[in-house]
Amino acid sequence: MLKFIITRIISVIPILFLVSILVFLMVHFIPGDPVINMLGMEAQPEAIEATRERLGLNKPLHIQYTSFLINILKGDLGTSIRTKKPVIQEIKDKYRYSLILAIGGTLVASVLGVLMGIVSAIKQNKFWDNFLMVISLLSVSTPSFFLALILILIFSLFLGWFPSIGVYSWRHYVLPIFALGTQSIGLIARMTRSAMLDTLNQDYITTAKAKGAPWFQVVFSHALRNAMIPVLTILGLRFGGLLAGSALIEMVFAIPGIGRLMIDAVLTRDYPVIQATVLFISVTFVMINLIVDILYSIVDPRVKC
Amino acid sequence: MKKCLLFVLIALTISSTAVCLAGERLIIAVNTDAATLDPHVQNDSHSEQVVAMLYNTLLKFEEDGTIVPDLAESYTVSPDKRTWTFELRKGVKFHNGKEMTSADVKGTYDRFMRDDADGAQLVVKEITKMFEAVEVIGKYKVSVTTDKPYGPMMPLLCNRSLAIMDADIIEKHKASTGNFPVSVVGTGSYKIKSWKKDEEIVLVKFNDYFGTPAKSDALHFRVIPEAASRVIALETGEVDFVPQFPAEDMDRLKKSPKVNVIQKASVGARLFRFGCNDKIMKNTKVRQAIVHALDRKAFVDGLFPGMSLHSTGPVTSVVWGYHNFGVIERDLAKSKKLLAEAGYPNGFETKIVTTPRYAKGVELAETISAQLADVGIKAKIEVLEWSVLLPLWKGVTPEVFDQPIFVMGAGTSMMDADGALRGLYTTTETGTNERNYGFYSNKEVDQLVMAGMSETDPELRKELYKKASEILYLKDPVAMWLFDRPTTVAASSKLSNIKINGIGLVFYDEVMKK
Repeated sequence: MLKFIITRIISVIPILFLVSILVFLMVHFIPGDPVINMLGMEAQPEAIEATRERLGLNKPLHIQYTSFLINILKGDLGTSIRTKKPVIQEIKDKYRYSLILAIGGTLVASVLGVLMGIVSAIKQNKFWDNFLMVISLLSVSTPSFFLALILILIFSLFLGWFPSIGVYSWRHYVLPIFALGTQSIGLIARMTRSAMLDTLNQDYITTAKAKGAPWFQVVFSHALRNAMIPVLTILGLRFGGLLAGSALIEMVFAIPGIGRLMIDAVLTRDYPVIQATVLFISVTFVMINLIVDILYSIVDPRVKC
Repeated sequence: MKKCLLFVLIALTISSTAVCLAGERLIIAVNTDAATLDPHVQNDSHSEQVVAMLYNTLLKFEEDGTIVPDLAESYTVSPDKRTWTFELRKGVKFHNGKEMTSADVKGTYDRFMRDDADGAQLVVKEITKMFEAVEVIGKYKVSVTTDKPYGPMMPLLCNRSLAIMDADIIEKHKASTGNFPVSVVGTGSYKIKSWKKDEEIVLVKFNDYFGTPAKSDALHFRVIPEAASRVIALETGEVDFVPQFPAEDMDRLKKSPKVNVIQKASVGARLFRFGCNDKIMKNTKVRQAIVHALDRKAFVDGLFPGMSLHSTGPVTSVVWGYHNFGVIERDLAKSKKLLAEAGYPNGFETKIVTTPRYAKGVELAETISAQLADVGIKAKIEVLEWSVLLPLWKGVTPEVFDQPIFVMGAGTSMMDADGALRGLYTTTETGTNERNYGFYSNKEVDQLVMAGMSETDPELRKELYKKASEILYLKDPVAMWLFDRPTTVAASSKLSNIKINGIGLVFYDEVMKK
């Protein structure tokens, strides 16, 4: 197992290296000037040039990239051009909010999605199957941004149950987590349903039923465990998606997460922050998928490490 | 199970009510964070508003625009109108407990008057170029001398960019002053408590403030980027004040018993400037034709109903030196005649550059384009993100600048025509566009505006600005003024005594909560 993990971690290094090159080139080739953005419309040309020099932005790209890479290896992600704070500090301050949202969203999506999928599979082609599949279709096709506003209108403005902005208590997380997780509910429900239907038609399920195994045991112990592999894959991918895609939710609910940090950085061409946030999200994404790979072997012993 | 659910519901209801009950603090929902809290560097309305609560100037604008002493108790002007001597208030404390004296005034002004002062960082350097010397005459007496008489000296001294800072703090923190709470030390009615970037700035009442004590114990400038969320948060009672909201919400908010909408005429206006380096736009008649081809009701009543006023000149009614030239009505016949005289009887093709950074920047361009089509002008629209647009505006030469018509905002923090016209519409000396982004050049305007700058007789100054404004607005238009932008804020109906001045600054320290 340890060897498997180490091998996987080593295989991640070229991916991150590639990501770092792509991100670096991308931010430097998009139009826009971070220095003019920082200094504003009134800035004098000499001062713009001086600031560019101070930030090292007038050096050739390969020199800039090399020093960027060396600094990363030293654990220095640079300083934000906009806020003048160390980027690592910026990310540390904001990452936890996005992580809570992504974990919460994944939990909501997986619990509700799996339950809906199981019920649909058991009640195949009956009212509950059709009803839940319509709900899952709705959840997949409703943009999270739109859903967020609808949730705020109903649960904050009309009912007054939950606050609509900020993150000052656990109650502040309820609506954003639901808004973020809802899209994945439908996806996971449909995936679980189809995997469960496949499994429920297997001979060993018929055998289990014939042996008189209780309904609960047949569904959850025999069928669900085997149906979980494709669902786990989706869960891993969705988590990364939710982490990277929480920006809109963070904007609507005024949550100072990493998604908002990234958007602000893109709008102001804050190169160090864009590079660091994208790298950070990539690392998380890759690590989550590594964990998923490990989970495979637990769920399905046939998958060898 | 039912009991359990009921308990959860009751608990949720009780705790949600608790959230709505704020203490003696005002929560202001802003769309973006302050860029800096250094008065000399700040250059945006968000920063200026917070700076206004933290710092004081020698003189200040009251709500109605009258100028009264602030840190200065009184002042005298020398016979040659070049030296202004100020008697400072005694016993004024900075937030760190230090007494403010003439040394701080000198330290503050010297910071941006020095030859080696970083003009890019210190935006104020540009507007105080006429300052020649600052002399300490006594502990509470200081004089400021300009190179020649400067007509709008008093409104300039009210500008928050000239706020007085603790000279020791400037020396200690240098360029990083105003970026972190420890480097934010003023004399204002509030002092800074915390600043979580892009999240919230918290100011608390300064108990040793020399003036009328602030009414609320704390001000929270909370960043809520999404406009709909800001408005809903106001309706749910989670915030007390929304300084900016979409025009579409105006009717609903006006009808809401929980919200009051307050409006005040301001220095702000929305316009599309002409790139006078363009071979077509350099023709005065073409610009006049465009100005007369627009139906401004589409902007005022259609796009910004209740949140805009018809423009009647190149400066708004609250700016000193304003003259009412009336609304330019749409006159297609006149427009076509002017185009024919200019040599374009069948119109021409051009380009409008805009950005979504300005409210409805794209919709404004689309409306202009549609209206210009009625006189044969085919204008394609180029939408650019702000960070892409800025480098295309900044310090470029006429050969490079390629924006025949482009979006722009207007305003002045000194509420005087000098601040509104000089630099923006006067000819640049360097060949690059500096602040005159459209390369507009009219010798008569240059002479009138420069004369207005050094003239100290108010009546003569008004006359000079009237002439300059007429040229800029009608005779040789520099832009198409679409509408004036009054300051419109939405506040909880629990708040009273809400005052806003012409610059758009809210006097949060005077707001009372029922």
